[in-house]
Amino acid sequence: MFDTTNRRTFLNQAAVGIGSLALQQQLLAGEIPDGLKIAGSPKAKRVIFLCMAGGPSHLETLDYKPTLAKMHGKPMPESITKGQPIAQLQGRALNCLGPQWDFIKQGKSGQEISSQLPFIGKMADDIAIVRSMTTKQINHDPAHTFMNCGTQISGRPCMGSWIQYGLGSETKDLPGFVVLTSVGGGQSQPLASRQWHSGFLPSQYQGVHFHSKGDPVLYVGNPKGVGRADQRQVIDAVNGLNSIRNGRVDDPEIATKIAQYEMAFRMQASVPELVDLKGESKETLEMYGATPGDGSFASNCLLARRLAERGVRFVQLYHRGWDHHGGVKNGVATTGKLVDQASWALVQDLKQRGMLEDTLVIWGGEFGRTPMSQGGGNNPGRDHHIKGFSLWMAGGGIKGGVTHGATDDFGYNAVENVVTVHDLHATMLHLMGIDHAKFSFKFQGLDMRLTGVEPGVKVIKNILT
Amino acid sequence: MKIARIALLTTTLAHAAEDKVDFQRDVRPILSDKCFFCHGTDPETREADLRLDLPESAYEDLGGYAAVVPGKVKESELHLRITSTKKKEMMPPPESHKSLSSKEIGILTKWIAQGAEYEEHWAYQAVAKATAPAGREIDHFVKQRWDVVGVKGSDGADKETLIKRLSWDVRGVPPTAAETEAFLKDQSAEAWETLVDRFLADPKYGERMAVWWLDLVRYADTIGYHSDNGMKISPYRDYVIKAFHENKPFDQFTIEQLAGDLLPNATLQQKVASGYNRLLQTTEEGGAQDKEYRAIYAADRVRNVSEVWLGSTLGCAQCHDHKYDPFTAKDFYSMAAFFDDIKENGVGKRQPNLTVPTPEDEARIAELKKAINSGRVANLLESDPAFQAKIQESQKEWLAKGKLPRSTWRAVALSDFKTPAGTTLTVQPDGSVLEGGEVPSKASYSFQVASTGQVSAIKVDAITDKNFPEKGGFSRGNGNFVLTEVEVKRGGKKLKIVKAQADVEQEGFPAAHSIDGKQDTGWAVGANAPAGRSGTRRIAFILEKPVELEPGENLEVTLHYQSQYFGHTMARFGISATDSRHAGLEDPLGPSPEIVAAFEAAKQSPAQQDLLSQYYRAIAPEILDQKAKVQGMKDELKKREGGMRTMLISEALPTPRMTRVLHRGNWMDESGEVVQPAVPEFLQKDTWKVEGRATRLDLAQWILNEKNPLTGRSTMNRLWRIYFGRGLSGNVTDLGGQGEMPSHPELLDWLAVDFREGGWDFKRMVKKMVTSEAYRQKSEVSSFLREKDPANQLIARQGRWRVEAEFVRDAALQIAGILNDDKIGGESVKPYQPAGFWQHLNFPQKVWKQSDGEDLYRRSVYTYWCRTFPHPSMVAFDAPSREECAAERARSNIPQQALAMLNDPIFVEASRVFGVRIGMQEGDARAKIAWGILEAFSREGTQEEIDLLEKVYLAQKDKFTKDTESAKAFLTTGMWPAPTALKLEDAAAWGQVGRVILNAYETTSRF
Repeated sequence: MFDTTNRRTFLNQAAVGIGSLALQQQLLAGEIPDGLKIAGSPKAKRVIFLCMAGGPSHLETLDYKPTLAKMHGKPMPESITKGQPIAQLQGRALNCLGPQWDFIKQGKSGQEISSQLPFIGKMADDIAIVRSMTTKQINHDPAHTFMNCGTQISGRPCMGSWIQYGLGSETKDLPGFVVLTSVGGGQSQPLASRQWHSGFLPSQYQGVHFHSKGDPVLYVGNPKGVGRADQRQVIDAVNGLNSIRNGRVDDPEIATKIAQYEMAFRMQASVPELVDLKGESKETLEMYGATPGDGSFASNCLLARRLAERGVRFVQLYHRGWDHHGGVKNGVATTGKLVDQASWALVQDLKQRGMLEDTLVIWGGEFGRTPMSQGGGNNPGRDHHIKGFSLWMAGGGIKGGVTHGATDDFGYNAVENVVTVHDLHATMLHLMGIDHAKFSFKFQGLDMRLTGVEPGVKVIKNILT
Repeated sequence: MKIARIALLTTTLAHAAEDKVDFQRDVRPILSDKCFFCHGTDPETREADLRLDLPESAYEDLGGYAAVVPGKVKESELHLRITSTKKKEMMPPPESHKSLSSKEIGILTKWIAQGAEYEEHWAYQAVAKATAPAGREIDHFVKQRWDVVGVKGSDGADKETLIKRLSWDVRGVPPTAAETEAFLKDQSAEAWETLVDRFLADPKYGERMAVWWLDLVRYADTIGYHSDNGMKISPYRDYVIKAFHENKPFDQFTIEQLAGDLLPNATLQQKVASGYNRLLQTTEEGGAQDKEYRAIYAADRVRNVSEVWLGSTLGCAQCHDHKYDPFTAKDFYSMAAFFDDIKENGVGKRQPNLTVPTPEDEARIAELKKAINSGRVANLLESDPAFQAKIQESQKEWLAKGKLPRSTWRAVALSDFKTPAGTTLTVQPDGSVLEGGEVPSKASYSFQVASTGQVSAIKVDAITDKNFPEKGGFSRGNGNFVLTEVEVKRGGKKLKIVKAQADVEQEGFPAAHSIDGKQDTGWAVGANAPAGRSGTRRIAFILEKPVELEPGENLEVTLHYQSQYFGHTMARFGISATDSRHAGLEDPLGPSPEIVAAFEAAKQSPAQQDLLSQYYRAIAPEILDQKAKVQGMKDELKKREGGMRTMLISEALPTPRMTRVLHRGNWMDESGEVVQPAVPEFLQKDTWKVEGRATRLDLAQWILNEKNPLTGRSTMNRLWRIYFGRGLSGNVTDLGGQGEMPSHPELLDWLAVDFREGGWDFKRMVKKMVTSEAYRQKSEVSSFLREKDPANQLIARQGRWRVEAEFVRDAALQIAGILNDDKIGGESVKPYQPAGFWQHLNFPQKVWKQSDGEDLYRRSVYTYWCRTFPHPSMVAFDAPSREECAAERARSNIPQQALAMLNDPIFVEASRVFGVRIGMQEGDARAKIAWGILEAFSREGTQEEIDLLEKVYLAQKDKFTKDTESAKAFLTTGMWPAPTALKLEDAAAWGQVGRVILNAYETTSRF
């Protein structure tokens, strides 16, 4: 259709106001420009990213460390921790805290998964576990930004925006990139709207945040006292005035504006329809453990499936509840309970509907937690940790039942098949059919990429089907 | 494919007359984009030790061959490589994902054939002012280009369009109907200039320009990271508004922001301006590392100062030498070092370090301070003979009348002393208590107090005694005591003491410290007895509620002496009680025994006379009145000062922090070279001579140096964008190698020089731009120009765009007639925002506390700017987060804008209030509608438009007549009072008409 250079020129012009309608129509086609394509066909059409905000402890969820159990209460070897970045444990004694929960070998694959995630355990053969994740940012805010944008510098687009930009939207009635949030189980770290911002990409690629209270999408409800027919009449009149004007000055921006008012009107119907779970069967609600309207992670998982069904390209769910500086044992159990069943249900539901094969599901936090104990006493916790942590993926071209990479005996450093955030992004783009190295946008004179400019970024081939 | 063709045509058109390739325009961009990554300024990524950015390297003999041999295409290795199809040979290499088009290969080939001449990048060359006909310079340069390319400019726009365009551009609001009408009537030759001058003089110009500047400097009301808590900085915003309004020269404006605090005798406004250095994002996140964040802050400042003033992306050199411009990593850290004198913490809350009075505050405070000083009793007694005489007179009368207010204190019975082992307390014949035995290091004495009847206060007298003559004092330590805490209990329950009042207080040991709940503070009197009160020191403890003691019932009193000072206990003391409320009495303690004795003495000694006149001064009504008056003024002063805005400003450390080059930007790497503040080396030339450690002031002065090629160009390029929609160089962020060659280099340079030569005068430059013919062209695009010049690089027409987020709302409020534009400046305000929008903010949880009354209707430049969650309907219209410098806002056209304009209470309220204005107009419905269109569009409506709106009116009136509840609901959107002058259904129907008009393209478009 068009080569990357022209696409870029085109988008840059669109950003300053030329031809955005034409642009949207192009992108609705969902084609990947030739210059960006990988060899072979894309496996995933959409992504559902279950972001476990706060940083789940890999040591109580996905990365079993018997040696650490033996070292419980003893000092961490200084050779491991010396000179490493540390968050709240700065200047404190660094003692090992053994795994607080048992792990169970699950499924045919025998993947080891925490006893506190029994539902996820049930689908061990559906998921690939990555035990060698690393990141560069040790505090929540920059770590989320890094996980989403590949850099901690503000003003850069997040992965959802990049994917929207690369693939366009498959829905005319809903935004192509949706963010849902829930809380519970641990302290709720703040979350900035920068995490779903389009940065220097055109604003149409921004994530739209759905709320569980009030209007699900900001300003999607009519004004008080105005019904749908009245709204239709007002929009018709606005578009009428704009058409008259356009007849005189022939400005593509006016045509776009008319189209956007139509889109807004459609969203006013499609969004309430989307969030209304009345049509879901009792069995489905029970499978997720969702109560309509409760704003829970379970309800959000069900909404994620509904969004995926309607062609939304990128759905990101944040569950803010994994920051267990103290009481990591009970914390993992409590927060785990809030997300375990619904995470499983989402994957199974997608599978039942034949959608899992082209939907990439990712489950993980912005970082992991230290093998060292934080706070002594009966209720120890774990601090932020960036040198090794875990996540799992399923569907959309991911091989089930495999564990990729490993940390050392303490669960401190990823030592085998180390995966960076950029590798994760590259893998995600690869599954969507995009070559990350070719996928760039000119900003401040530079070819900006989601995966940065450093060499050595690699797709995690081991876990691909 | 179509797009590619248009782009090509533009280039062809633009260069039709130029056969020789131009290094700046044609060659450098290709080399920069495709070659410099490996063959440019950064040694770390340089391949084959070859630089193509420098002629000496490009021409260098590489052993029988050279990359570029001027004039000899076939002998140039570069040509061989770029035309090769062999994987190992071809350049750029396939794995770089960069490739040259055949056109680009053609240009490079031609360049070599024509002699491969190099030129310094245009933006780094000295700025030169080409000659042009005086007063018509802009049009001269614009037309020159038209002539070269062979196009004609567009016709002039009509007056309705012009006034609307000018009002948007200069003031950020549309003109009012009255302004439009007056301008249409003005047929004089100076009509345009008069209008320009009037709009430039409007304070709204300052507010409009502030929106532009605040985006650049990333002004916001919150810290940005993690908790995103608030920060006090709004006076800086007001400084910017005022600076533009009063047309502060850009050199002063620059110096004051970067280094206002370093100026000798810095004025308040200069200090406020230095808040610029505190605008960056900061963190309060627990667990964040100080050192890491200091590195983040340093980089933030370098990015901003270089983007704002130099139009350069020096920030790219944080991890490595810049790949496209000659900035080195050392330049980056040397620039960062300028800001290492700024006093601030790495992590944690930032406390405001400047209080900013308004001019009214300043005047009133000066007045109060003067009045307080001159009204002080001590002053009057010393320097006001009339006052002295009055006091002497009334003292005589007082003595003559022979009445001394009797003490209301009554004696009490003490018993059951508890003391540290070895120390004793015994009651003396006069009822006082004497300490004996060992001198205690610390002590807490408790005892029972019997005093039947009401007790509202307890008094403790410290009494001197011949048994402990140390310094004539009150203890067996060094004469002084520290009463650290006092407790009064009834039935084991502590009684609350609300006030402690003493006759003498040692500095740092006020009476209040004896009831502050802390044992490390207390009341003391000093070991040396001051004149007039020798013999006793007294302190009264006033209970919150008086207690009524039954006969035989006791209070338990404990005197704590737990200070660090040895033996600081009262060695002789008396206890008394009273039933009267002493609070408010000038002398709650009553006259001391010495005064009673003096008063009653048959013949007073001179010392006694002194004592009496001193005592009288404590009770004289004239003095008490005067004191009350002064106290009133003091209270007012305190309130004024407490109510003043505070803010963060720059404050220089005596010893700046040390700056190192951080290898690859890694803050944990301490091996880098230590650097001193300096400007980028390749730009220093002969502009940088500083002795000793350079300061921010030196930086500011260097930025303004007449030989600095970047400041003027960057600033004028951005100013041009405000009035034409596009910079003369299309990239208003970056003038560097990856930027864009200006469409009119001579014009940009002319503006840059003229700006400086004219005294860095913004209004003068704005006026030049908006009075040009180029500015006054039509914005409608001919199909010819749309195809040949889609981006309007030739300026053969005006630009068309949707106005900025702030002005969308400001316009709606103004059209509704509810814009509160009387007030300039002040704390940021909070218009309506959906509930729960801040739910993800934490530490602490935050709630958007909506403003009241008129503050709901202020211009949007005053809206509270939360960096992590900026106001959502502003974001919909492309307001940036202000986390980083934003030189160019996007101009998107997205459905969220429709949702906001249609449904955000801000716009629904404006619509309904505007509707009532329409409905109140004279004439029939059509006449009213015509008025509404004129008001919002600044032009007459057509029949077709009026027909369309009339239909809306009639249909909606019909609906609301049947459904008055809905009408009521609609008309109570927002806090603006519901209308009373129109019938419900009428007001609501007109409100819907108002909505249609506010939502229409023309209302918020500039063309």
